[in-house]
Amino acid sequence: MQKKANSSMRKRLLFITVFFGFFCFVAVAGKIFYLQVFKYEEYQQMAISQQTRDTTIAAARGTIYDRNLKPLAISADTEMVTLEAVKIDDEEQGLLIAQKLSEILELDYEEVLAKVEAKGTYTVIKRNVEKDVADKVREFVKENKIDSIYLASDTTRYYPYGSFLSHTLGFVGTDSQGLYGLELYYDDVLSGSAGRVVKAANAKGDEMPFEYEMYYKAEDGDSLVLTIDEVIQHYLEKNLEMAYEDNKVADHVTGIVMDVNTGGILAMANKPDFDLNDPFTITDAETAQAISEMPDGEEKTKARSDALTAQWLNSAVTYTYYPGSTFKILVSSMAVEEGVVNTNSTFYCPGYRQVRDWRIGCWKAGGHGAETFTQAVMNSCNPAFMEIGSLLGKDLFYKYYKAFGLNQKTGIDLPGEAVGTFWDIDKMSEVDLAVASFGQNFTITPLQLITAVSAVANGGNLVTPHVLDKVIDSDGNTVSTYQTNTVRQVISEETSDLVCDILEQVVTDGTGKNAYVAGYRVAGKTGTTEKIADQLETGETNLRISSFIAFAPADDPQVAVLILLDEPTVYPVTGGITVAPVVKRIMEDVLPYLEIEAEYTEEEQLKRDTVVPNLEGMTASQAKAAAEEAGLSIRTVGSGDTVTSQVPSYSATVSRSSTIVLYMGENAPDETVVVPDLTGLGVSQVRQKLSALGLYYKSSGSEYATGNIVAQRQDIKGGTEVPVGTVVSVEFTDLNQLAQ
Amino acid sequence: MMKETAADRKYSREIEEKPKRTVGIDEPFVVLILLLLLIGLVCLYSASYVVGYYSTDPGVTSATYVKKQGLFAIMGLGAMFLASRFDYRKLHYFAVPLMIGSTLLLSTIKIIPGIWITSNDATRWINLGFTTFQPSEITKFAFILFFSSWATIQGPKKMRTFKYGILPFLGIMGVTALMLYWEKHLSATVTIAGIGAVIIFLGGANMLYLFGLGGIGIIGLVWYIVNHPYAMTRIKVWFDPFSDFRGKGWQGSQSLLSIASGGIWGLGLGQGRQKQLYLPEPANDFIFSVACEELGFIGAFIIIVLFAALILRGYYIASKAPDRFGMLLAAGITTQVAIQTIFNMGVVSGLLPVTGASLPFFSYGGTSLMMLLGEMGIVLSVSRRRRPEKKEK
Repeated sequence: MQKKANSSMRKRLLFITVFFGFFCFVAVAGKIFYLQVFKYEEYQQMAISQQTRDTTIAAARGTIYDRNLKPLAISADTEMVTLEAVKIDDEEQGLLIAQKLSEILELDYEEVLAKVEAKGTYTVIKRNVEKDVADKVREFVKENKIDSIYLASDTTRYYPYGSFLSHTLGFVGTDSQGLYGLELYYDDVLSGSAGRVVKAANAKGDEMPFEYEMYYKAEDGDSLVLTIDEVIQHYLEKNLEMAYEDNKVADHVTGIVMDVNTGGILAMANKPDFDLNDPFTITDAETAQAISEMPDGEEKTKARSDALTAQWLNSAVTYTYYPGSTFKILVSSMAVEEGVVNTNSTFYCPGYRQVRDWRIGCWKAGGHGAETFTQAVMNSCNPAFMEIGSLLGKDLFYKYYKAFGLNQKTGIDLPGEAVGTFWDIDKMSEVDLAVASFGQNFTITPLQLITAVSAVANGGNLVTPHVLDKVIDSDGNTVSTYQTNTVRQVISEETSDLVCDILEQVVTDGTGKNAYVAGYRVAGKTGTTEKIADQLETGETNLRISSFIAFAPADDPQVAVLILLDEPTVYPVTGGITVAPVVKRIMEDVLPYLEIEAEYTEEEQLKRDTVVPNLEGMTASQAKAAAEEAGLSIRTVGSGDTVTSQVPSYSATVSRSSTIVLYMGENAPDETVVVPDLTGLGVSQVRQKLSALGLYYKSSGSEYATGNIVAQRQDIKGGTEVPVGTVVSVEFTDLNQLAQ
Repeated sequence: MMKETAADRKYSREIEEKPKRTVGIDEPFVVLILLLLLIGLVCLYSASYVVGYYSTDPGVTSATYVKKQGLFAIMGLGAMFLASRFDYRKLHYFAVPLMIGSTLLLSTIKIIPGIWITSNDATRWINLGFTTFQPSEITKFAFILFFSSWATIQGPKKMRTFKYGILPFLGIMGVTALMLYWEKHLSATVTIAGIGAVIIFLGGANMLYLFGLGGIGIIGLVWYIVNHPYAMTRIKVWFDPFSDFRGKGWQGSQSLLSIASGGIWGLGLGQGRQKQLYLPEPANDFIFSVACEELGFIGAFIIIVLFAALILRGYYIASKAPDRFGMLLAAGITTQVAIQTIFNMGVVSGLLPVTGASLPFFSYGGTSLMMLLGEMGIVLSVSRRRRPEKKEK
């Protein structure tokens, strides 16, 4: 049967049947199974991400306030320009968009074009666009009927005070995330959470005809209320700036003002600083110049980033140094607490102390001779403290070192806190202990020192320093309040009282005289250390860190101030001469501001400056009585019945016992005189020189202290022409305070 | 009556000597066709819904496509019924004229290019005004008919020779390939060559020559790919569709995303997301991707099994055909459905490089659906005359 399919054909048909009817379908089913089971999660994610359009709703970043709710960092509403490049169909429109956007937003054309050509579904073109610029974009979009450009709300961080509190506040990056300082530390609190709208969309970016939309509300960030007081911070910064310039400081200066009882930081600053609104500009002109002259390349980039990092460092918490004699406060405290010394203890200082093979000298070459414990502190006598150290022994010494929290971070709410280095206690030698007793050869941070000293001042409690007072929400409700955290009691209240008393004498009659503030009981201690490592490196011998730490009032300490000058270059550079006056100025400003009442002794009362009353229109006798009440005497010129004019004029502050010139029926002469340069003159010379010219003065500083008292600075510079009767403010200092 | 030629005598001898007796049509085959047609229409409705929705033509609504397709399906079922009643042996007479006619039709691409429609760089459609159709669809059937007839007339002995077994196929295929090359219709070329090759293979062609043919085919394919950058990039993105996600790999990767998104259970009928302008041609070449996304592996597997069953049944009918012509005809038509189905599913699942291949019973296209159902009718006609089971004897 030719016509019927033969067996060879059947075999061939069977082969075809199996191949097409079975084999191929198994392959297809297998691939589909693989995709739908093994690739399900991965591909579904990809599909969903392309099918949805995710729009961010920016959350407003919280404000940072000082403790009196003055805003220090605020967020302003701006806009963000984004592009859905996948929607751009024709090339010409893409080019137009790239060109106009780069023009309006002042961006690089090539960069924008690259974003256009990337065909993404969501590309940020520029953030933080001001409203007027955003309006221009809007206009362009409308004119050209473009559906691929969007404007969304955005926020910009703004620091109204510029460089004020810069190291502590820190700053944010372009997308408002905290990069430094408090902005970084409390980024979670401040940033809140951005909201989102997720919408299903087809490939053209239009919404899909079926419903698929999820809305997540933006949670605005909470605001911080700091313990920082803008006024105190201002006093601190002003005086640091002055100290930085007056002493031609080669490295930096740091200052901390702290509430000794709560650990709240009232002010914290370093100079030089930087502008928070422009943190990426190098502040130091010389460095900036040097870097700009470098050839482009990796080295330049590195130099730039190193300079910026150094500029942003908050030295108050990141810098470690030898505390020097300021550390004697803590050594005194541990010695008194352990009973190895008391006020009756006596020491003999021959100008050195022999420790093993080492002869370690006192700062005073001839020695202090016989002295009590109190005098040893007042003299900042090194041999006496070496003896105290050896009386304590290294184990007790180290026990208190740890108890004062010096071997670990203080736990302040700022990023980047450092811890210094101390000896391995097992390997600490007698010599090590001797030098450690006057604060040498180990390092701590300024913050660690002021925290430990605050414990001495507040009755013995080590408290955790902090910058945050409370967190408030956008409606002003308190979310959380910082509770004072007492780590431990380090010394007893009795020890604290005794040490405070001794430290007060350091200021009234010892090496800290230049920090004396009339009317207030200031306790304090000087400190000057050599930068040994840097000296070895550079071959110089006069690189110093001068510091002074003080707290007041000594009988009920409230506030502590630490000022540190790293490499002052106007010699002598001891803590007593260079830094004590800075602390004094700050205390003079801060204590009255904190409404701590001044109590003047009778002697001080006489020395106080006084405010000139308004005497015009009075008779001579009336005027005399009023002037005397203010502690002033008068001299009359002319023969009228009543005062027609007075010099100095009403409300000027002058030194007591100045003489007011009253013009009876005449006008004050319209003369001017040139202010002389008073620097380096003694008190009586200053007084003479000024009154001879018809000028008045008010004094501050150690005017009446005994010692080598000279004028250090004057508010009106020598050579300035001023009217007769002008008040010149003169500051005196005691040059004898060479104690290290 | 025309003067009887030797060839005519041969035809009539082949035909007249067949038994006249019929046993009813093959019911399982009909059931499978109806099931696939129904499921295909449902899937088309879901897939074309958005195409209509997004259409800028005011006359087109979401239901436009499925209505049109439904109408053609009904007409197609009518054609199937008529074809099943028609004695397939009479188709012998149409073999040569249809081959010549379809070749002439294809050649109009150079003679009257005005009636052809070009889209996406390819010219595959002829516009008849009221509807459009692909001449290559007719060519497919012409090949089936012509080579079934040819192999029957020549008989296995002659088919083993090069002159009778291979040369006619080589010649006709060469001419057709040239015309399809003008159309830029690679997938049709491959399908037609495949169908033709299967028929002469079943007709008894020498295996050695067939391998040679296969070699020529592969060389031709490689030559085409290497010389056509678009084909080359398709091969590249075939291996890694995500390498050019937004460019050449778009179609392939979107299809993979659709299929995988379905998971085991699917997103639900009508719930597919990828058809929202992500998938190209959701109602046509990529309709199976939509089905996979909406119906999951369960649904996809059922569809695959139905297709496989249809094809197995088709070959079964072929194996039971009363004569060689019927067997080759049924096997040829079944092979056409098999190749198109596997081609399409292979493309959407990434087993094969992307090329335009529609899915029988599913893809939108009225005339091709009608032709398909007509061809199914021919298979049924063959089944009506199948040899009875032995036990019935």
